[in-house]
Amino acid sequence: MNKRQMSKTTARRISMTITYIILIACAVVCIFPFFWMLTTAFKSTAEAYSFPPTFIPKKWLLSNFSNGLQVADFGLFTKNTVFLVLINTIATVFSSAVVAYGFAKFPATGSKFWYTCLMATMMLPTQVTLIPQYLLYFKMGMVDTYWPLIIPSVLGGGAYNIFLYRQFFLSLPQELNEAATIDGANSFQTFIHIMLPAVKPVSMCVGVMSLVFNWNDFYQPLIYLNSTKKFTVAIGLQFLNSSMGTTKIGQMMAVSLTMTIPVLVIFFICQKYFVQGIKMQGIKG
Amino acid sequence: MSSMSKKKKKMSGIQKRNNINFYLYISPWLLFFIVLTVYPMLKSLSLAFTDSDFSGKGNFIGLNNFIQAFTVDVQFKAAFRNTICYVLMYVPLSLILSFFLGWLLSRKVKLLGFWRTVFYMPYITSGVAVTILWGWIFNGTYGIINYVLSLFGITGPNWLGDKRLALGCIVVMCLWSLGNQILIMLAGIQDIPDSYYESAQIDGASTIRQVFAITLPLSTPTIFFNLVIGVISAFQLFNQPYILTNGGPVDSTLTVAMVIFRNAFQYGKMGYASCIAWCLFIVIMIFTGIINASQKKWVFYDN
Amino acid sequence: MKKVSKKAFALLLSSTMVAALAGCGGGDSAPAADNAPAADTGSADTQEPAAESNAEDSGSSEAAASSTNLSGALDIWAWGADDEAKSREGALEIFVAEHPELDVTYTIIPTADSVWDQKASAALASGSAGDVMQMSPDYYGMNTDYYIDLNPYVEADGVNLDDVLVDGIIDGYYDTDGKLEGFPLLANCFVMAYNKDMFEAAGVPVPEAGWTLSDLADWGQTFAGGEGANQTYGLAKHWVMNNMMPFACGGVPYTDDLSTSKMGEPEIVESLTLYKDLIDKGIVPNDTALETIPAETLFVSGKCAMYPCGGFETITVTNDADENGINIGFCPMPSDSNGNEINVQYATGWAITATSKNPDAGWQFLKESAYANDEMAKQTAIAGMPSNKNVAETYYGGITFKGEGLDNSYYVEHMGNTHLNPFGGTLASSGNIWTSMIEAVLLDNQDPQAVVDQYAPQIEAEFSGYSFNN
Repeated sequence: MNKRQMSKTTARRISMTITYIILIACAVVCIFPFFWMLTTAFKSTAEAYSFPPTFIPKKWLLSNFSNGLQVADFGLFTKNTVFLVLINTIATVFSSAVVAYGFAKFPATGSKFWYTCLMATMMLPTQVTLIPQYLLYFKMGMVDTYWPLIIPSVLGGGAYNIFLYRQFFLSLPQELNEAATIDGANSFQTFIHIMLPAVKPVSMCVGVMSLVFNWNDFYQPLIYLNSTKKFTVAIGLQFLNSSMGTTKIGQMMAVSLTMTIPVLVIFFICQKYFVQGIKMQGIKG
Repeated sequence: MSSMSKKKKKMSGIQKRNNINFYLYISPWLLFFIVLTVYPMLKSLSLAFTDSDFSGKGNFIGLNNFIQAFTVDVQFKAAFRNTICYVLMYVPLSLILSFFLGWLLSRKVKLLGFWRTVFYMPYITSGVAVTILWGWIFNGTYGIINYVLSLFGITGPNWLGDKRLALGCIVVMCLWSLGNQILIMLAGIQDIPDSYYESAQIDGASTIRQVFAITLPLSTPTIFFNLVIGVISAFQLFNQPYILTNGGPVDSTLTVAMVIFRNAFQYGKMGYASCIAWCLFIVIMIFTGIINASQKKWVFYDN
Repeated sequence: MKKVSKKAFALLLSSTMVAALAGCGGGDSAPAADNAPAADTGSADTQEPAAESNAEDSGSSEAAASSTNLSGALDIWAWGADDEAKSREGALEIFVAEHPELDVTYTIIPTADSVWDQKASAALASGSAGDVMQMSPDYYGMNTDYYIDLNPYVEADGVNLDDVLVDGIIDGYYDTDGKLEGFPLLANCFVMAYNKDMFEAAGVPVPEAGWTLSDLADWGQTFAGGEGANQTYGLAKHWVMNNMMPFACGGVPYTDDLSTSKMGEPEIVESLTLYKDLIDKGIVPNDTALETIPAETLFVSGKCAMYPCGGFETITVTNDADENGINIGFCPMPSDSNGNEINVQYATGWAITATSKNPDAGWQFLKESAYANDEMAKQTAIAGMPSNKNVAETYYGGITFKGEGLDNSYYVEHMGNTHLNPFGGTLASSGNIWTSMIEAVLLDNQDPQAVVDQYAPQIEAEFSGYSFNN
């Protein structure tokens, strides 16, 4: 082993050490609020706000979990949320793939115009279309049903997801498309049997993002749902948030934590595909 | 001559098939766009020229709302300034941070899955609970930041109570949930073919040099994407300042989206709120338009 | 041919798939869908006159208001989280049980903030709101066209409201033009809770009725001491302190008819100066202005000698103090220089929407909530003082708390001395400017006079722009 190689491995070792130090520092910052949620979930309100702060609870209060989860019917809310999240995730993955395939593979007249429209929808402040949108859903008899929460997923699944799919479709070799056409398969068969399997990573990515979004979203469900028995977990959490400044912080953190962990586990399982699904390289935007 | 026209006919045949396919495939989105986006947009545009309350009843008042917004309304003026400041602080910082962390993660680190989950965690745990937590972190007397500072004998400021610092605190809080952008950045960097680095290593280029000569230019498409999405979302900032400071102190964290909310749903001035929302929409379009036009100058495309 | 149909089939796949799934969703919504037709017919324009004539009819035919003739569906929307939600649900369940002839559905929305604002606005604008809506004279629902005038019902009933409602509790529900927008359910005001141990240790006598915040500037410093997080104070900065401020030095925020702002008067400058002085002297902490650490925690951990305790939080405060071994007592809220008590009232009530198909049943619910059903009022008492005079005076006033001699009677005795929360509801735009004024003085150290000179004209402009002033 010559000297130069040795110094090279040493240099690599030093730079990797620095890398890990920075990563650990950033990870501490990222985890800290989560860690605080965890310990606060076991503290009394007095201890949660005590100073100097205690990092490990002096007295472990399990009652925050049992009392917090009794504030509302979280069992039912979880069932509703799982139902909604499943439909929305499947619908988003499928419908945004369909729409994106259209944008990526068919250079039709007007396709550029519609693509610009698609991107422009992201720039729209949501509050201003709220009332006209609500009025439409109401006229269709859909207020207090899950439809207003599902329809956006079924009809395109959002500009962001369509964009991610489109990028991926564009990065696939054109031969894939052509080979299938020569075989005599029509375009939809090509899409189902060749394209969809080929974009599995991006499907995972869009699926996970849609899952996280739908799990946490409380704005749309709260606007459109009226019956308590249709509420979701994110709305249920609001039952712990008193507007009069008397929120029981420990209970709130306990329930938030319970509701976050399943999503965290799912993300951990899927995170590998998540990154594989994003393609930006070599594509003219 | 005859072969030309035949070719033309054939071309238009392909074109026709493309058109049919295109519109069939995008039809779900098109339906949503026309019914649930364009119609509400036009509705709100027509309201922008009226003095309507939220039921939509009101009189046509021409450009009065726009004149009111740009000459009289001090809250809108403050909100507009704050929003621009926020965008100018948040967007560059988010790009630098996400590129840097994305690059660190791309350096074949061990336990990549663990790091990815950790950096994505804030994005998953967002919500009311976390915003309350941040309020406590920033608290001037009891907060953890000032506690840590006090261990070094430093008396920290009243972070959210100081009008020069409050917006900065909101920026920090938003930077914390950067997980999505970091992972997108990581994906972009991992997409760069190894061959580029190999030839650079043969030339003996240092790691730092490789970052600036290879990683950075080849990541510009990803940076461009994060930039556009970042600008669009930053202009619509609402939740964090609403929960944490309600626009204070002295309107220093008031954002345009909050002014829209206040006018539409607290003051019942739907017409005026629509006017401001359209102004915001136009400003966002101008910004993204400029960014889009600039990409020829700095975004590096492989082919 | 085959190709196209296949494609069409595929493109519809997503919707059919969901349609199938929505089968379950539809099943869920079946009971609620029953009252959908009630609100579904026609536009709001055709419904409004109908609703009005309805109200007039029942005004003439008193029988309509009696519960025996009621039928049909009644949808009720409430807000509330935690204890407030429980108390609402308890009262609603009693009403449901006692009225089998009515098909009552209700929802409790766990928020009273931005999302309620948006949800209620959208529902009211589209005419899809419930028959009965939660409202508050100091927060949401005054001066609108969305609710029917309740005066005809009150007249038809022929009940003297003074006999059945707590004094003054209904005043806030009348618009300036005399329309009765809503009917009361409960109200909360404040009592000054104090830490007996701290007062004894400092050798300071407990303040008696008539004490002022200017007095506090003299003796409150006894309690101010310590550094950083161990600092102790005379008075916790509860969020209500900001809404008490316009009255602190004998001022009023506006004229009684809401026509003119009085925020430019010297009394306002005086109040701002007084608060600033209290903070500068360390008697009142400045931090909690931004809703981060509850002021309550400061008080029950023995760091503040006094705490303005709202009727909605007495249970929490007394329990926490007891848990921490702190002895507390109640004394009156401070007075202004004219000897008038400075106390602010937060009220919650119900209103009947103009689109309601069943206003008579709605009125039955409003009436029972307000005064005609003692069991419902007892449930309401969990979250505050019920408007039901009998229950307020006998049951609610007698509710005791941990700690010696602590009960709700203070709230009942002092409710008559309160001002309605000054800047809620239709005056929210002035309220936001007022918040900026306070922050400019207390957090940004600006000169009170300069702040008033700068912002008072803005509030005046808001007042002249309000619809009820045009």
